[in-house]
Amino acid sequence: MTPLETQQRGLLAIIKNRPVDTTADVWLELIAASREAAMVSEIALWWRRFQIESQCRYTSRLLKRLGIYELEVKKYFESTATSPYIEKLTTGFLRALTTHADPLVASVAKFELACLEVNESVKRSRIVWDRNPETTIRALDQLTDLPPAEAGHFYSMELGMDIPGHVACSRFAHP
Amino acid sequence: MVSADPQDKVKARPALATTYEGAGLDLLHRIAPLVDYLEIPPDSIARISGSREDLRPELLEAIACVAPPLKLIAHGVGLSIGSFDSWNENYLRLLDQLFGRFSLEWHSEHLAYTTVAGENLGTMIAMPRTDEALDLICERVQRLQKRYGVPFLLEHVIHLLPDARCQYTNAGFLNAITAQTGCGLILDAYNLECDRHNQGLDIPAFLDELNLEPVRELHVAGGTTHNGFHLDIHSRPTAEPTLALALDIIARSPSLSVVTYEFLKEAIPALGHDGICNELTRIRKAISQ
Repeated sequence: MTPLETQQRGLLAIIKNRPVDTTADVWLELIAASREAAMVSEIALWWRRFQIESQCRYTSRLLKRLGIYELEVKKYFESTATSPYIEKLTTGFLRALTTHADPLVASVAKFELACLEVNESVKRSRIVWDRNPETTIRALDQLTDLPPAEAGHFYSMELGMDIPGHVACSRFAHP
Repeated sequence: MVSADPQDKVKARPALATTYEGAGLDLLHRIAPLVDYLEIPPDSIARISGSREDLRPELLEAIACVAPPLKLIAHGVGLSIGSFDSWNENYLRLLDQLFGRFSLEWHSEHLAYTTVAGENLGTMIAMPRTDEALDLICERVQRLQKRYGVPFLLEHVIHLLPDARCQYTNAGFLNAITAQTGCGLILDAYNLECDRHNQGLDIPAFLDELNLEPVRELHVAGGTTHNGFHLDIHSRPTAEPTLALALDIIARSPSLSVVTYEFLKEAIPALGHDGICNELTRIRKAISQ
């Protein structure tokens, strides 16, 4: 590796909070734990949060309510080769959240991802909710209380260009 | 007796430019009568459709409505000219589209890297000032000059990180690039102030050492301070000391022809349309004196 490659790869690892061999270069050793490098990482994260918030209105609001927005963006930024393009960044972030341990986070992320992709996709998206999606989205939109999960029932929502109004939703009892 | 000394010529006042990142048409139509140039960042007026980035047709139409009479310059953020492995070919495709649609006076990029081994850093990092970096930058600048056939300018970026071991001073590195390639420079008055605050840059010494002949464009902006760092987030009006420094650079740079007020699209709600127009009027007045 040339000195330039060593420094750039090392800096990438520092910014992304990944393991880095600081013995490979004195500059990396100098900056690794520096307040300046921490500031650079913070700026990178600040922009990612800003971009995601501007595109993922409902998911970011839900994550903020749960107090995990900054953490989730940080986890995604550090573990992923994030795109400089806002469209790719936000869809990638939402896709990563579709398997989130909290079923509501997963449902809202799936819903928002389906909304972003509905114009480009010929396929339908199906999203299962543990509570009324309409009142959930309205609550996120209007910053009011979220409805509770409905024990014994679930909602099945479908989004697609071929569906009248592009969305359909039904409530079912758990078998 | 008329002096033959070029230094005695009356220098033309610089033209005024501002950033257009695709904000609403109402703002574009308000700023258009106040400036001579629009500075277009191709990355900021692009969108992804499928797996491919393209300039947004509706924004190209909007730009076409004001150019002419406005002249256009392109100012990239995503080329990553200093990445050790390769630059961003996607950015060049966007630039090709812009050149295919408009006649650009020149185009420019930051002397920095934003991508490492294909992975985006999420921010822009200044180059180490070494012979290795110099060779890489000069080779790429020459490729850009050949590809587009209009002047190419490089802009220095702020140094948030302490310098790596280097073989050149800040000015010496820029001098070496311009001497080897003939490319132009953009100076950014606010970036210099950030470097003075964050890294102790001696601005008068920098300007004394820098060959100012290649400086074609000057950026002015206002930013913010966070955790003791001055950050180049273009979100405020230009501070008086920044404007004073800009006027000093204008007076000393024989080929400087455009002053650009930069602001981020994201800062428009805070700056306000009136605030942006007032700022352009204020800068125009300052650089016209």
